[in-house]
Amino acid sequence: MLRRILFWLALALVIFYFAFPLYWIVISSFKTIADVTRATPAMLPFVDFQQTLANYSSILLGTNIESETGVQAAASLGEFRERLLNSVIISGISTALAVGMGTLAAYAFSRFRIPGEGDLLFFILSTRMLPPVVVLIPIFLFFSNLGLRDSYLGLIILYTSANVPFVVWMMKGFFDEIPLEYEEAAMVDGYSRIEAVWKIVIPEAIPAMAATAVFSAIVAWNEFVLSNLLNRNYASTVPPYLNSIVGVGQVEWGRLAAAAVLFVIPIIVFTFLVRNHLLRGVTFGAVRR
Amino acid sequence: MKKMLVIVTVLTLVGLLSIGPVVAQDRPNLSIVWFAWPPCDLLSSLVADYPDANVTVSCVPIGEWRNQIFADFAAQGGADLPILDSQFMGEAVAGSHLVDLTEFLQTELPFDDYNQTALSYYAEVPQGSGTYYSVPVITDTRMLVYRRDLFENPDVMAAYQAATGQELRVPQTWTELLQIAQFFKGSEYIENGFATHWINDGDLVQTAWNHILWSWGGELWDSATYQVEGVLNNEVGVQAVEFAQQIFQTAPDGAAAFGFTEVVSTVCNGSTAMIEIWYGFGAAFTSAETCEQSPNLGFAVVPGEVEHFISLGGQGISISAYSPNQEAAFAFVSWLQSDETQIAWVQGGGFPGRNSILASEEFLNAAPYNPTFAEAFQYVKDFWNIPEYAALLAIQGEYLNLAISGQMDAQEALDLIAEEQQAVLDEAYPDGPPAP
Amino acid sequence: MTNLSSAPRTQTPRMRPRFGWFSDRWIAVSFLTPTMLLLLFMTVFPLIWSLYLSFTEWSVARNTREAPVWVGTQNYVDLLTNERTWERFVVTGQFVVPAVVIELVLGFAVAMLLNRKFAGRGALMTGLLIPMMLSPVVVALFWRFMMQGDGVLNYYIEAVLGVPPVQWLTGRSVALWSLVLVDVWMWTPFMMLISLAGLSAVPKYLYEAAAVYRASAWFRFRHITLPMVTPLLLIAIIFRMMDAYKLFDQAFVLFGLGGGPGRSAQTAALYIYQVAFDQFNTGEGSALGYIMLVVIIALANIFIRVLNQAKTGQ
Repeated sequence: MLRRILFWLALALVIFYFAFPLYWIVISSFKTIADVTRATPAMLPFVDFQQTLANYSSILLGTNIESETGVQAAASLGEFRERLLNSVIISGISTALAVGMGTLAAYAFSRFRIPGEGDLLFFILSTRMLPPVVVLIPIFLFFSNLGLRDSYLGLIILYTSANVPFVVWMMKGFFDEIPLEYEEAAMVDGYSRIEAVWKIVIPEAIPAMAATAVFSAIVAWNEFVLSNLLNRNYASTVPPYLNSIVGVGQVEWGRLAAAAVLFVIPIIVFTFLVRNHLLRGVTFGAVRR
Repeated sequence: MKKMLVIVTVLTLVGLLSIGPVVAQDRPNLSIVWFAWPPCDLLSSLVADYPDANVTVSCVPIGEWRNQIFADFAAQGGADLPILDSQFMGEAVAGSHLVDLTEFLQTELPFDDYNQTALSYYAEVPQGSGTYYSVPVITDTRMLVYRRDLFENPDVMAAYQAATGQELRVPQTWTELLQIAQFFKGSEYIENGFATHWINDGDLVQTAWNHILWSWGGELWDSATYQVEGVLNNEVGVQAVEFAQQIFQTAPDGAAAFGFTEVVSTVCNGSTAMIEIWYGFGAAFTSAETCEQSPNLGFAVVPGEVEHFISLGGQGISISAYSPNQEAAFAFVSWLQSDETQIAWVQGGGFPGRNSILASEEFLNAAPYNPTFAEAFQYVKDFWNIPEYAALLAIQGEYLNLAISGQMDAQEALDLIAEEQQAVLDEAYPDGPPAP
Repeated sequence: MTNLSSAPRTQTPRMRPRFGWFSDRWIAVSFLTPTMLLLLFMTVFPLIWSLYLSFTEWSVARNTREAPVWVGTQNYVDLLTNERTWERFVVTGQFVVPAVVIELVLGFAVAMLLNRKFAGRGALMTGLLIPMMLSPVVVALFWRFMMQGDGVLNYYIEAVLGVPPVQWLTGRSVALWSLVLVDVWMWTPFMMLISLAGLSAVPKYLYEAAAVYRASAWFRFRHITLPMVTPLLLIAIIFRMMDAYKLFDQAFVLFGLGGGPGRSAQTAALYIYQVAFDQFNTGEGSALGYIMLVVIIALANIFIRVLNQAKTGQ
């Protein structure tokens, strides 16, 4: 009995530690400016404070929650929607490209004898170890010269190359699990290799590709440094925006919380979708279940 | 699955198509970059009325303001009309990133009407050269915001008299300000005494402390010989840091991380009796909706001590050498500086660069703190305006923040600042300061 | 994952397969080329360029229209003889080691806790995984909000525990620990996930055998659980170390480029960014990047060696 109580107590502590920050942000997003900066924290909606949707409407519709002489003009608030769209476009396209290219490369690594295969795979893996800040200078110069700063294309290329190594390693692991006999049987039946890949292997790999895609999309969705440095004026994504709306005149935590919640909802949905692949996803396929 | 693929492809295509510009615009596009504060928002709403171009204003966090502008310069692009802080001008001109506006200022704009102090600090590079690279867009300095209701409350006044033997009034010297702040700290009337932005971010702790140093009679460096060692870390410097340490004690918990937002909040939510901040933030105090204590606030000139100096704020608007729309940019600046726009600017809460507007009824009546502005602006003083500015600023910010928050000895901090800054200067100018 | 039992359905075979002229060799080359080209272009090429820049004195902001000036190894000599450079790496180490150790211990403990059946386990697991999927910027902003001087953490510390408020973001000796706390919140679930994978792979009969001999709980843990889980944990440690070493976003959001009070939380990545994109000393920044790269390669090699030893020793 005592062990039972201890177990549930320990569990409760763990849940509290991980859940409290999330809870705090969610309730903060429903608070007015006065409530969010109140010295005594208000914890329970309906009981401690009167909840409001003003933060959400301000972020989504660009309506101003202050008076006319208020602190922040409506113009810069509507930006969230724009940025969200940019985030969707950039993560979406870069993910599609990374999964497409990476899957093909993974198939080649899995099925053909490639000279120097181990070295190539290690090279691909090693690009993950590279601290982004190390290549930031040349990328910055390079993008500046080619006019890729402040463009969708620039970030799409960057995020694609950031995700491709991951896709190659993940998908190679999955292809290794699909028996060779599948394609061989098809080829004996008169299909070419390309047809066998397209008609037999890819459909078999779709669930794995979907999980890989979600992981790649999350990486692109959350990326901050490159977007913050390269796309400041145009095609900017959400994370730098969140960092920049911390506030000007008055602390605007309520609004920030609302923006953060809106930005995070897709991640939570995705996390739920890939929960069974999580282990592989976060370890580059190094750990299988 | 196939259906899914088709749907995804279609959505992607739709997304791609919606990226491209929908209609060709007749009007040129102009962009302005500034840092996030109320005047930037005001400018955003003002430019909506400009008929001859589509003007967009981006207000970036102050910590990234400078590096965004210079990153754009480095890429030979960016905003057509960057608004640079006075200290960035030297660096920007050194990289030939800005268009020379001397002739434009003298022929197209009422040159003599500009406040000469502002013009010289914001626009003239090098100072005294008669070459100008910007047009003042906002003049600014620091103001004292205090809880008038407390200062005028007979009970508080009596208690203060009893405690200190002096009359409670708007402080005339920093020492008096400290005494009042100490009286309020932890008192029954209010929680904290005095707050300002002591954070090591951008130039926040530096601008908050520099004018204390100057008012004590100290200097950051000798601008003629580029000497820091011995000029900054002397007895006067130490006094100025130790004073800041004492005044910091009267601030709320965590004040070492206070930026603009926290400073505004702490007076607005009624937890601090006095704050000091840029006039440009004035708009944050005028609405009771966002600032609970708004009706109780009073505004005054920041005091001096042995001498009277106040940190200079404010900026000029420049034209980027990389702008493809320079003609439109010139036209926009002319519009921005016209009497009509300037009146709208001050009525919205801005501070003008022209003496005639500064003296106008419209300006003086626009906000409760405006009448004190002209006096405060007499005392302004600026600091380094050389390409090594960023390195010097970072060094000062690091140790100053530590010292003021009581985590480092005043003398030690100043010695370290002087030593490291001197090293930066000596490396950049091995043969002494450049010839004027 | 993939359903191996169901045989693939092939349609009516044709005599002449389409795309038959694509030999396997061609397919291999054309499948690999786009990926390899992209990676070459986006990592190798930039690395060569920044190697060149690291031997020059040049500022992209001040000397925009001038060519870089070759100064040989000057930047490296300056940096390697400068205490400040090493301080950044020490700070990084002071962050990485405690963060990874705490994540490991806590993650493993939580995994032990969850390694049993109880109602709501699945939902709880998924919930616990959310932190590491969130954007580091969002996580750091959440915590910055809570860690403010008058924030919710300090309120409860004062009101409930009755101790003076903690200088989370402003205390010179606290700031780096605040960063550790944020990282622990974010990445403990990762350690937990891997530990759990390891734990669930331990064969039940080993424990049953141990029970027969009345082995103590400690004995079971030390001689059954730990050896079975260690190889997986080593992989997890390597991944976490690499990521923690690169940490930028959270430190940037919590403390700004300056790295908080007295640079006490300025990690190496933050410092490079400051030199390269705030002070715009492009040559020096490139050299710093290379130093960081050499350090991480050296560390990675050491760890991989340790890992291999652990694997062969098993």
